[in-house]
Amino acid sequence: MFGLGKLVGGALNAIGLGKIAPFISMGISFFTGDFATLATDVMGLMSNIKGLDFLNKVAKFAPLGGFDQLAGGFGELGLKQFLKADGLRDIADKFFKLADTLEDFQASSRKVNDLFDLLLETAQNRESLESVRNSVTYSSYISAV
Amino acid sequence: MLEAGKSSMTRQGANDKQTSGGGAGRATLRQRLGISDEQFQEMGRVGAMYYQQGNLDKARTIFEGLIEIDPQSVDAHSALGALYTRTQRDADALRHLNRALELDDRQIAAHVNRAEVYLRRQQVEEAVADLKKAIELDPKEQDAGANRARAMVLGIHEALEAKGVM
Repeated sequence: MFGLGKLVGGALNAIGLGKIAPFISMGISFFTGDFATLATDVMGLMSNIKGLDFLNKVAKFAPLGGFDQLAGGFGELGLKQFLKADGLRDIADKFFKLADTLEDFQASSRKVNDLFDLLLETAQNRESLESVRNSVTYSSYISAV
Repeated sequence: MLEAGKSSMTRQGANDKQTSGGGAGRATLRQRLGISDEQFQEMGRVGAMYYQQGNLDKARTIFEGLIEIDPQSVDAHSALGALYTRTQRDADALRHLNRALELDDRQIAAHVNRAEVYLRRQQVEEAVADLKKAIELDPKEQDAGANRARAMVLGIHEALEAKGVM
């Protein structure tokens, strides 16, 4: 099947997913269900894979979901602006005032406090801001070929 | 109660009883603070930056805080679930990934990560079901997470071959 014979030997290692391989092997070794059904399901998935081009764009780490997406936010300048200028500070100040006055925020306020402390620290740290800038072009996936 | 902003990333309203504010019918903290979709997304992206850098403690601080701000955020639950998947805190990962998928079962990342957790737990059938869903949601092979699912399928195929099943 489209050269998979060459690929699957260490395929996961080759694309940076080697840590998963032992778990897969273990899962198969300890599998107690119907192997025929499992094999059919896996073959069905394999038949839907059009080729090996997808290996050029594979998430290197467990993918985050929406926060991984670059579209939909402010973009590079807007993000820096949000962190540096009044937007974040205003929200944080609002929260700190609420936390001081509303008893029902006490249980969760520590985590939110930590969030705003970290965001403000990020905003004040030139190196972090630079990382934010670079993150616009960060690679959450790796090239396998 | 503050006016709730429309959000494509959250499910508001009926689930407000789970807000940080505590009581049923209360506004979420996000609503009280007037945080827009874009602002919420950018805070998440700072977490994503730390995540990509491997600074997982800082990333966790951000994702946990965002869940406190908006417990109905699919993106925040998905992100924290991913972080716990990466750090192999599987029970915590499943809790947040399941929540993300309850809120929106078309979350590719949550399906892929839950499959990884299932594989670690030797729940192969459940893993294959999640991988199938992730792949179906990305027929054009454009999503890096769904492509991770495809790679995992190759790995499973390889393991089955090694066992002489295929």
